[in-house]
Amino acid sequence: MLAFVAFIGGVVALAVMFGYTALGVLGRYTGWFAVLSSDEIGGYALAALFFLGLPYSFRRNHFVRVGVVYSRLRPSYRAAMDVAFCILALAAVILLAYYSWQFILQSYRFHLLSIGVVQVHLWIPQVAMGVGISLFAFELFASLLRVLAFGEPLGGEEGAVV
Amino acid sequence: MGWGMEFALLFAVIAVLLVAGMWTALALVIAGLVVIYVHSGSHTLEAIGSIEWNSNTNFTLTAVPLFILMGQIIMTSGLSGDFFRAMSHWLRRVPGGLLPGSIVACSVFAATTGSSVATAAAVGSVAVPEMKEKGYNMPFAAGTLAAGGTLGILIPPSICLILYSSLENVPVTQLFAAGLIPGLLLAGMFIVYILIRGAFNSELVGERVAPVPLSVLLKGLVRIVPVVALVCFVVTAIYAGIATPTEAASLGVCGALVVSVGRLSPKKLYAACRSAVQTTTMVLGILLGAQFVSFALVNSGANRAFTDWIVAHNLGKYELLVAICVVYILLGDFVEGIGMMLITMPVLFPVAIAAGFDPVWFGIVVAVLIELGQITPPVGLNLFVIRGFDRDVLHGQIVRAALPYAGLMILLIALLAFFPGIALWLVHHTSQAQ
Repeated sequence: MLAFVAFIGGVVALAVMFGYTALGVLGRYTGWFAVLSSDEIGGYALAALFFLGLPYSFRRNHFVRVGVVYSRLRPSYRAAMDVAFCILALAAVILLAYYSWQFILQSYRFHLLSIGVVQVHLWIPQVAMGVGISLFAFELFASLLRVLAFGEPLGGEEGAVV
Repeated sequence: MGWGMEFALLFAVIAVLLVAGMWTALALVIAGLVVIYVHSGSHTLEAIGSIEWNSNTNFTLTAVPLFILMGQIIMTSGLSGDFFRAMSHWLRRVPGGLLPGSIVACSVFAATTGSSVATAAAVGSVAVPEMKEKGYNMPFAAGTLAAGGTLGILIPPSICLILYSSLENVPVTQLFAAGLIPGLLLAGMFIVYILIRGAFNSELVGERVAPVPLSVLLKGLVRIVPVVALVCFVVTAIYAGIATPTEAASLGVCGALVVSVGRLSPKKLYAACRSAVQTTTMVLGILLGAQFVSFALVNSGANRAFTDWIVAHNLGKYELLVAICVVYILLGDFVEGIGMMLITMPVLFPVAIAAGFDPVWFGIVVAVLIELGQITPPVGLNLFVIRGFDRDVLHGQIVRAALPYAGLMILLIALLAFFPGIALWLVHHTSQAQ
């Protein structure tokens, strides 16, 4: 549920990014209005889109993996591999989450501002990163429990990125 | 630990995790973290936050989700099918017209989506049943469609080139300019190959399309022109310096909404947005992993030492190029394209630059090598996609049919090596125009 809410946040970030850049170029050529720092806002929206989209994309098996060995294994072996992968990934992602919050806390403590025309307190867009990565850790933990409880592999196939 | 050991450790961890089946993005993050920790202990791990933040707030990258959204809108609105049918009507006099028609359709849709699998799927879903009905040789047709799908990796706007640009700080406008002529040249080579094969073996190309009344032809034009115009508009806006790639992408989204008006329900629009977010997350996830690998390499000094080591061996330019091609063709057997590029770039890019290759030119060569990986087994994803539309064709048959196209891609790399102007001519002219 939380992962899905975050994902919707990602979709909203996409809409914001689209609206802001489209208005930016429209304003520049018509001269009717000026959109400030559209590049910076676009960058923050991208970060929000990515980090908030992570947990749900993972759950929906949108993370690609190499299937040379994995896809040839029996389901029970695949489940065992997934347990190992989830534990490893969880350890790494908890580390990422911990240092993300440290990084955000630093921006907050030192009142860091963005460099552009529109001065934004950096911790505000950065919170999306902390929230996204933390939810991703939860999602990994939930996946681990699911595999352990049902003994079924998470699945996911060799996919293409583009 | 010396740089050689750290270098070996990094790639050993990546290789073991990837081959075992770990998610690519996470395998890269873990390998990066291990080497950062081994080289400089836990205090350097504090850089994690800034790596995460900085690798994803890059303005160049904001074009990625917008271009994907533009392509998704066009795909979900079902324009690709009509486009292909109209194309086949117009090319009905050409023997085997559906095949060159599908290459043209692939080039155009590849340009809108920047995605090779999506293109192969969109054109293939319509083209495969149609060609089957007309008695085309199906393995040949399937191989053609699989190869045609890959054209999007080169023809701008290409997601792959945007990622290359953000990773190596090469201007994306220059890469887009450099990709156009090689991309069109490759499409042309595909078409010539099809025509030659068809001329010698009429069994390959089935029966001709029956005559079509003028009104149907004109109606078809209504389908073709807006999509082609949209692509030309987006690409020209970037080349002429009217808009940055990101702005052009957002205008492209506006254009796609206009072109598909009346075919796009709110549900379909949400589906397009959803898949844009999911695809972007996947791409940026791997990019983030690659940034960790890159940081680990720079932090341990391994990539500098490796470059010096290669340079000290006095490898000639062409020998190096052949070596890089071999590495990619081998790697392409296991790892899908974007992942392969992002894993290898931190090491290969400095080596290529030290050897005197032009960074823009090198990006184009890498893009062609990724196309090649997409149609060579066992991970040739386009092969699987196309086979999904016609289960009667054996995987091995498609592989064999796609091989000559892989050969044409290698020929293109050779042409690029001997005539770099194929890629760089337009770059010089557009940068003068700007």
